[in-house]
Amino acid sequence: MKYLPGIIFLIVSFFNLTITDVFSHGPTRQKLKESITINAKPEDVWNLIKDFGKIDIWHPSISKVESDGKTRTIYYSPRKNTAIKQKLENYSDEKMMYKTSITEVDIKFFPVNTYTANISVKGNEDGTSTVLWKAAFYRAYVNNDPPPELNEAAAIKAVKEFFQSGLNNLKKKLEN
Amino acid sequence: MKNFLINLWIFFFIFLKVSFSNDLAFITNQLSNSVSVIDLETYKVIKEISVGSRPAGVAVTKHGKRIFVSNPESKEISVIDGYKLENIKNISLGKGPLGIALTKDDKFLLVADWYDHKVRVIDSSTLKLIKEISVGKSPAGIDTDLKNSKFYVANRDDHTVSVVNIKNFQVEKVLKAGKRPFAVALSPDNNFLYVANVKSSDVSVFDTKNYKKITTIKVGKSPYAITFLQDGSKAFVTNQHENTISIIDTLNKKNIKTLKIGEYPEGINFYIKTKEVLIVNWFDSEVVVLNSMNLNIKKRIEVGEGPRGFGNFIGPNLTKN
Repeated sequence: MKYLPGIIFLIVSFFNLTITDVFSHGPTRQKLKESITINAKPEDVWNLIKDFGKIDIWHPSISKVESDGKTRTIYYSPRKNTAIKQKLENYSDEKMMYKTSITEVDIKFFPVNTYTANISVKGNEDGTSTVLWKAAFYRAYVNNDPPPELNEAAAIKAVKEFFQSGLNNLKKKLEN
Repeated sequence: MKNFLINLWIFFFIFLKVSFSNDLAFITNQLSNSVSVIDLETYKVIKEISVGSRPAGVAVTKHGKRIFVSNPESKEISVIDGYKLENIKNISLGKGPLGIALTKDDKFLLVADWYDHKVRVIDSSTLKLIKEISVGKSPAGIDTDLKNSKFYVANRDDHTVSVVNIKNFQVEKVLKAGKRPFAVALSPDNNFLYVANVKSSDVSVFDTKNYKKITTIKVGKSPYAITFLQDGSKAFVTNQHENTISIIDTLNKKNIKTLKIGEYPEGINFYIKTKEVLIVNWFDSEVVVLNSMNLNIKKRIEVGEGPRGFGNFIGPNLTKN
């Protein structure tokens, strides 16, 4: 029984760390843009990525997706198959783009907060296509002086790796 | 008669020079830790000034001698000299200074602290801390009235606005806003207080005489900041998550128009001399110059990375004096 205060402390700190108020965030939003040029027609690129619920057919690091069309849960393999719940915010077949937000994530594995991202395809004059994936997000730590695993650099690294592996594989798939 | 005409010409010349030129916009670039200075005569960036870490808020004194910038990450206020356009001092302050504003007599600089839930009052000439006022959780935007009697601060994580008496620095009243209020703006006649609520995507309007909430106006997704036309007939609101601005008819308290403006629009100021609205687009790292009458976009000016321009960022250009 003498350990009870310690156990309570641990439980409380665990919840404080992982289940933060999703609407609170620090004062600095981060920005990331990744793009890739693919030797394929924009329609063909869009055809492969346009299904919001089937991102696993082109993104190599997603082991599984569960989707009802409006939301999706992706299981992200490089980070212990962590579940990332996303919502479809915006979709345009005509503009070949869609926008998502993260509604639930375990920041131990994917340390971002208030994340939105937009993926789009544009045709170039030489017949190739450019896929642009851009995101806006905050670091996971909502207070000042974040520990290194929850700071700006950690957030940027997580999103960058996610985008780059996806885009590189998309190119590989379409050009082969 | 001839002398009189010459004098008249000289008079006009001076008048024109004084009234139609010589203003600057100071845009805080949060991701490049700097302030871009835009000459509003030529719409060119004339200087980029290094400040503290992750600058967000900005306030310019009436005569342009001092520009104050909040840096929430390095926990300091940068003081820029308006003549030299140089960062002359960084003052350590609190845990996360964010929203800042000057009283209209320029006597006090008010700094809202995102992390320790206080507004700090700084003497703007001696730069000394005078007072700390406890307000609601995560205070952000501040506006001050014309009579130097009150200021208003949005408490984002409490869903409230604190009304603070400037004479004795006491919180007089706490108003219930919408969800996650971030910015506040008084109408030019000070009769109304507009509050932009990020989470409920609307604007709460209060009567400043009795602090009653008159109405709530639906705007675009995640409204960030508000500015008024000089005559108060319209209010312009930036909607961060919708890449638009909403235009509110203040007489009927209705959202009459939504305009695509660029990605993540944030800070917004009305520029009286040209009747243009300057809008800071965070994602596009640019300032958009919008004609407030015909709503045409006149120019897009490239600034530093991740600009926020949160506050009143326009002031006179003293560099030519």
